[in-house]
Amino acid sequence: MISKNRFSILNSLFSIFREEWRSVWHDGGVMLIVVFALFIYGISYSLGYGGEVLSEVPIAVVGGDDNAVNQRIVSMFNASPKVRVAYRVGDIEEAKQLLAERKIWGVVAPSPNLEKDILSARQGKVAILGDASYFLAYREVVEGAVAAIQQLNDEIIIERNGAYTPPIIYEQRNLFNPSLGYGIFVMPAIILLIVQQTALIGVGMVSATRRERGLRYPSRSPLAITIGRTLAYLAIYALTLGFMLTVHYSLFDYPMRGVWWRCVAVVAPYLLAVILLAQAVGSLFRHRESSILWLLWLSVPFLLVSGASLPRQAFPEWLYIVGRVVPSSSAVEAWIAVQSRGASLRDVAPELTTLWLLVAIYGVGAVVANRSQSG
Amino acid sequence: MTLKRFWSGVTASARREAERIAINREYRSVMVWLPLAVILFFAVFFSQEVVGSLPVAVVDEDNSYLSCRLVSMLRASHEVAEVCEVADMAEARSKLLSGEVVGVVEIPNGFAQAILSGVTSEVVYYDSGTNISTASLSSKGVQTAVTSFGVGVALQRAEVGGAMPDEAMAQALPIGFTTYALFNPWLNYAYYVAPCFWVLILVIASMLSTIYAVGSELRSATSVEWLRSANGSLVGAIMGKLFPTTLLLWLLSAVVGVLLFGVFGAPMRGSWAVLVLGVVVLIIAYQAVALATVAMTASFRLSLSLGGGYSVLAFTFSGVTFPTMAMIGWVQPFTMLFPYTYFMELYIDQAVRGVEWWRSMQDVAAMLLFCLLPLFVAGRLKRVAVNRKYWGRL
Repeated sequence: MISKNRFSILNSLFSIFREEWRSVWHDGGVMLIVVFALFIYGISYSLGYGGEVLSEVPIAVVGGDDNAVNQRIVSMFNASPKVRVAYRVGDIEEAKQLLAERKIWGVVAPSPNLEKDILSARQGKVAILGDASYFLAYREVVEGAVAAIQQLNDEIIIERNGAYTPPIIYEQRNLFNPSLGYGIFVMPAIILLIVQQTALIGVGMVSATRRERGLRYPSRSPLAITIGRTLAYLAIYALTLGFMLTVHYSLFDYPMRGVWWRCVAVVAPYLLAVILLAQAVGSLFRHRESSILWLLWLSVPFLLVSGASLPRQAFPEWLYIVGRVVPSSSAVEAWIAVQSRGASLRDVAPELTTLWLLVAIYGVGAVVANRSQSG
Repeated sequence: MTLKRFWSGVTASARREAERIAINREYRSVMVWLPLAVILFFAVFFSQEVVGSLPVAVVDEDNSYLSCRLVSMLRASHEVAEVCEVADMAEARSKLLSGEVVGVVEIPNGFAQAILSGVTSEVVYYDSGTNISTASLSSKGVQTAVTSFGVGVALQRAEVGGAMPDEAMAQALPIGFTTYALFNPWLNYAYYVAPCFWVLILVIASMLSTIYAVGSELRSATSVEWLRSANGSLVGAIMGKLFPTTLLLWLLSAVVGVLLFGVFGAPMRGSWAVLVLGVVVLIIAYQAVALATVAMTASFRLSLSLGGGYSVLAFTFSGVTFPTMAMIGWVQPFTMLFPYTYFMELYIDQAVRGVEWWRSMQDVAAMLLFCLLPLFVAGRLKRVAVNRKYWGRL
């Protein structure tokens, strides 16, 4: 009797799984979102950020070649990987023109009597002007110009004194992203967010389509329906996300410092929480296309509240805390810690706890939502 | 068809659409309340305007009078005011891995000894690097503190050697420099990042509302009724239909304008006329792309998927956060496929950099090209609208 019961539970789980699996693979609209969107968006974004770093930003130097110091400044800049002197201009007005034409992103203006000052052991002055309307360009211009001038300073001191022992050498090492690549910074978060958006929209589409067509699952138990549906999406995302986090990751050289089972320990509760949330929310959509209309707007807010792009210090703390109800918030932080930095599970214990808590809460939500779909 | 008949058709189609909006709660929520809510969300999100202090760990292996002075200089730097001292590199590493701190400053053992005996000592800042915004902000703070500490020491050495303060400065730093942030002296990120997101919401709204307006007619098999309301003229039917939603989109843009320039006080250095013209053309450009998408796919749902994807992707490919010049060479032309790119260029040029008005006409012209798209698909749109085969398709 017991074994027969068990068999029938398994049987019904399997038929729910099969039905959900079919409603994904036999429906072009759902397939586009649940299966292919992850690849389409993932590859597009990775290509968009594929340049990783900005280099050789064009700048202008004010003043001609008539003095040796200006010449040395220009050659120092050109030796720097961050900037290159694209124009020599007579005055700042000429430089402003080039800025307006988007031909340069910064101007370096040595004072007219720079050489005289240096020769007479007075401090010379140089103004570094960066176009701060594009932050990345501004940073490269200022960092590149400052470093070049500091190097020139060291050389001048050596020429004067024969030797130079600076009191302090400052060095910066970017441990887990040595060149501060942009893709390496945002893509781990974006890939996980695409999973969440596609699951929320896709599962919502399946739920609404079934409702519109009056379809029922072959089971009376909402719990069984929830488990069966969850397993179907877990199987799909295990494959697609698995591909993105291995093959795609290697192709684009994203950091992989995590031990595989730690990665699984982060991704598994995340997928569970997302899929359960998607079922819970899915019951709210009236029409097949409703989920896109309602959820497309939220991609950027979801990314922002995770604190993965702009740091949490940049926005109100309460938004960060409220944002924890979204699975991606904790998952993105834990994933970057474990996979990009090689952290241990203990380092991300708070995030994992939150994720499992969300699994429990959204699990209940999904069971309640699936009640209306039972046979 | 007489002009009078045409205009009566436009009016009828507009009235019909207004009624559809009035009776359809989902249409209203998704096209009005949701974008408005997201726009307000960004206002709250960026209300802080500048980044607060970032947590940085300091490992002071020297623990001397001089190293303590360096630590207090780090504390005083406003980017990294949250300095926490930790016992050793192992503890610092674990805080860095978990994300509790964004970087670690290591002051080596023998730091003071080296400075006093005139040899070089090295201070290393280990940054996690997994968030480049925190990396650049915190490193700027740390670097400024450490280098000004170094200059201080060099000045003292020179003064001990008998130099006057001015001479000492010229000896320690033969060339002094000042950096200026053009167009944004406050380095306020809200002025630059918030508009990117707000405009993105306007773009999504233009796209989705247009697809909804036309696509839902196909879905509910009412497209013939819609065309008939405009006396059979497709142009009249479209003009009338898009009129109410366009008004709503203008209202949304006005809300964004009030928030950005009124509440946030973002600078406006160029031409208002060009900026307003830009917004109007941007909205029409996305409406045009939306119409073309519905015509080509003849499917409401597929149009939403494609149109939604197209509007969201614009952000990455506009170069507003990751500049176009840094992109892979063959990827760069893709930035031209999104009206959003041109509008953001126009916004930055006019509002932020205050360049001459005519420089932005190029961007307006580029967006106008997108507005021509419906001309190429009008025939197909009409066929789709009157052919039963395309109705009710999901």
